[in-house]
Amino acid sequence: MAEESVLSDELLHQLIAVGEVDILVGVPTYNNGKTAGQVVRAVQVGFLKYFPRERAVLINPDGGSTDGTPDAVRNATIRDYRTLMTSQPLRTLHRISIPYYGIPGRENALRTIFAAADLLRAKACAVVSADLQSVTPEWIEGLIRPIYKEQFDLVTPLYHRHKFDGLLINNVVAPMVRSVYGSHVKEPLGGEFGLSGRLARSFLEANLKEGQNVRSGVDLRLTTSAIRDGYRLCQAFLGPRIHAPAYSEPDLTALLHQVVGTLFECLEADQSYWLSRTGSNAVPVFGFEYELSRFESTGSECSRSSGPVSVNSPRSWSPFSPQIPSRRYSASGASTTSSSGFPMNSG
Amino acid sequence: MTSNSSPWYKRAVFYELHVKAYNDSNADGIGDFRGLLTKLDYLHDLGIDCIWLLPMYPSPLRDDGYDISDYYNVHSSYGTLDDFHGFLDAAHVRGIRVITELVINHTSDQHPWFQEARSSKDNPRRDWYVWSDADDRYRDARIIFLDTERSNWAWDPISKAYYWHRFFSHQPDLNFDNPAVREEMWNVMKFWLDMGVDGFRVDAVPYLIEREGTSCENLPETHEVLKFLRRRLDEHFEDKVLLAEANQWPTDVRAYFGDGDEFHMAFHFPLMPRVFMAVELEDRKPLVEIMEQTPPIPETCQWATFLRNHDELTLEMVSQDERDYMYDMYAKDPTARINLGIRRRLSPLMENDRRRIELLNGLLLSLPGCPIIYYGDEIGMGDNIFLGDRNGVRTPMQWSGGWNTGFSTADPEQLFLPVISNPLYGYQAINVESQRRSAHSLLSWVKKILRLWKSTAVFSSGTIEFVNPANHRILAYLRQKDEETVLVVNNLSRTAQAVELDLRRFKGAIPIEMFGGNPFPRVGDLPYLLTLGPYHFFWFLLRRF
Repeated sequence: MAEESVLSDELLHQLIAVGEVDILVGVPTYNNGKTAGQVVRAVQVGFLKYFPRERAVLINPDGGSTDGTPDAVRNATIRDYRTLMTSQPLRTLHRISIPYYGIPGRENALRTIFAAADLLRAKACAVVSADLQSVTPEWIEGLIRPIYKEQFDLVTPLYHRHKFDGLLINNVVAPMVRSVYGSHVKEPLGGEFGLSGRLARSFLEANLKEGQNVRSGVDLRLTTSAIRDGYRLCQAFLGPRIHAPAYSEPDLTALLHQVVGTLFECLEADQSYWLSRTGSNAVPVFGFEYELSRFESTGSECSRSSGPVSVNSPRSWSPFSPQIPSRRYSASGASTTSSSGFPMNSG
Repeated sequence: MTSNSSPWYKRAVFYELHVKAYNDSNADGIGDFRGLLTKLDYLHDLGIDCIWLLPMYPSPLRDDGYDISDYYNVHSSYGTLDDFHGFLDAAHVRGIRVITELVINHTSDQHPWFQEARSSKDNPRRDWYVWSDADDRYRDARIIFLDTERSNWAWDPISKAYYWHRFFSHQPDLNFDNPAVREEMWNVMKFWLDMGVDGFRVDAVPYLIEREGTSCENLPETHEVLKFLRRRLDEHFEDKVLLAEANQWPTDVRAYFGDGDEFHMAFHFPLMPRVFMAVELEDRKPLVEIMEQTPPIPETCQWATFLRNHDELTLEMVSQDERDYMYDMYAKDPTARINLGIRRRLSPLMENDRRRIELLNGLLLSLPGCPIIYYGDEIGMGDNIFLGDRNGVRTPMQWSGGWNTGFSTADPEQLFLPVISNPLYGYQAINVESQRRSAHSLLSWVKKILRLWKSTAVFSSGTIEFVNPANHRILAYLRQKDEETVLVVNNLSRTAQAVELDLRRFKGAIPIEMFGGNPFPRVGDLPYLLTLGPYHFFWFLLRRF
């Protein structure tokens, strides 16, 4: 039976040992050996700092990394941080690093995470990218607390973005979602999000029912289907989103095709929902949305300041200029290909 | 299987009781030694080896007898010295030893020693206590009874000076820098040992000596005092025991064993709250951590372990987060909180869940050390948190469903404390008489598990090695002594659990479940799979045939 299941026997074996949990955080990886350890530490400190009493597990579905990513995940420890923290973990902090079934990609990684959340009856889940350099324990609180304490079902992120960062999201996807679905979600396909156990289960069941092993645009589809089905949405301010340079540059044409293609797929599928609706609703925001006072070309890269800023134009336009290879964020601003090497849904 | 070569206190089940709460023979509403004597057969049948008597000395009873006003007598409410002697002899006839309280850190302010000391600064007894003209000495010493005391100094209007007290202000600390005090305390010990007492539970031992710039706890000079008393004991008596009450971390308590020349036994305080924490968290982490922090002790020494006692469930030896968690889980009603702890008995803490009560007893008995059972917990007695101080866990022993629960024939209004009478824990529902009738009662179960504990020296003297399976809700360990190995597997969870244990080094062994004597499948190369129901536990003797 295991061959037909999202969960491998080995993963099931480890999940049995974990048992029922309150919180589950998924960190999908593929060759993120340089950053995954720090992301895992941030998640664990987040557990400890903000959810010391809750039963928590970190799940790392790996797409077959060859750079030692699973070892980096397994070896990451917060022992060194303990003297700096006011609390010590009351419970065992679980973490599972395991390859998942199917074609490496975000869709299968998320299916594995959602299936684990369903099996362990997690009340709140979050997904965090493994290539992040700016992730802090506060991200875990931001993504989890609205679900765990306030009964929201989906938490989309709010990032500190430079005005030229996330052009595709800011100028195409978010306005479309707002106008068609009637929801002011600023990051409908952010790389990080939180969701309730019931939404994870619902999404997993719908996905399985459709019989699609791999379907692109899972993040956007998650957001639109949550809106469509009346789940409670909110946004959490996370601050700047900085991720490690990608190993390979994305094909911009493919990126646009993927993002916009997914958007239109959603629109087509949800026609019965949006054709008859009018107007739009604000989405609650959690977290302290601070402004970065100055933008420095070598320092903080993501500012939402509308004032005059000095802009590193070559780098901002680098996605459109194949001659300039080095950059840190994509045209879409979402998780996109990042460092994972395999095409992802969001851009 | 039982090794009798080790000292008796290393393989004994202790039973803590208060004379006043056990059985009243003269219908005055207060238990006494004659009454207690008539219950020795019950205790013998229960399977205990040693009675630990709470303070029975003359006292104004402002701290339940821990404020002694005469070390050489028994409180008149409990009988006479002859009554005590009669009880002691009867206990010994049944093979039951008796240890008493030795409160050496302080006396009552009504003790003649203190009355003399305060009468004049020139009085020869003046230096038996710790005095000061100002209340700013020893500022680094913490205040223990935070609910009632604001300072460790109290003003004495008679001699117009401050006196030192680590506990209540009516309990002035003795000055153990004074050799005369040490000698007198030895005389007290000798008095009772000569009578036949088998040892002492020595109260509040870390606080005997004060030094500026220190916490006034665990000082080297304190250990000198204790070693002096132990030396005297060894010079004059054999087969006696000194049990230290030092509510400290295991590494600090370790010093009280010395090189086997200080205390024979010491309480393992931090273990107790972690047993409760582990069961509520459904996670073995707190227990494994504290056991890993527990240092080895000399061969002749032993830990004393307990689930509940006459005091609050102390939360001194836990972190603030852990304390908050314990309060939230076990003392939702703030009335249940006192000092840094929770004034509740075992059964109410476990919400009267028989499976959880059994699991906790199973943990108590299978972890290293000798168990101490608090009177009434063997039948699942309840408490009354509205009685003030810690009186709620010191109510009359519930013997039957009859008049005053069979404790006394006095008028109910006359009892030293009212009996528990609520529908769940009241004496009509919870009492010895009814539980004796059922082979499946908690009392019958406790008798059975105590016999099992005593059937092997592994539990009292064996080593412990944690197995640590992937399932954190399972606490599994191996207890080993000589050629004998017992595998203990506890499910800390409220739900059924599966667990795989790596027992490859015992390949070929057949686990014999100790309660029923049933063999389980032979251990092989594969992980040993077990499934356990909610709060279920197994004790397996690993045997080779």
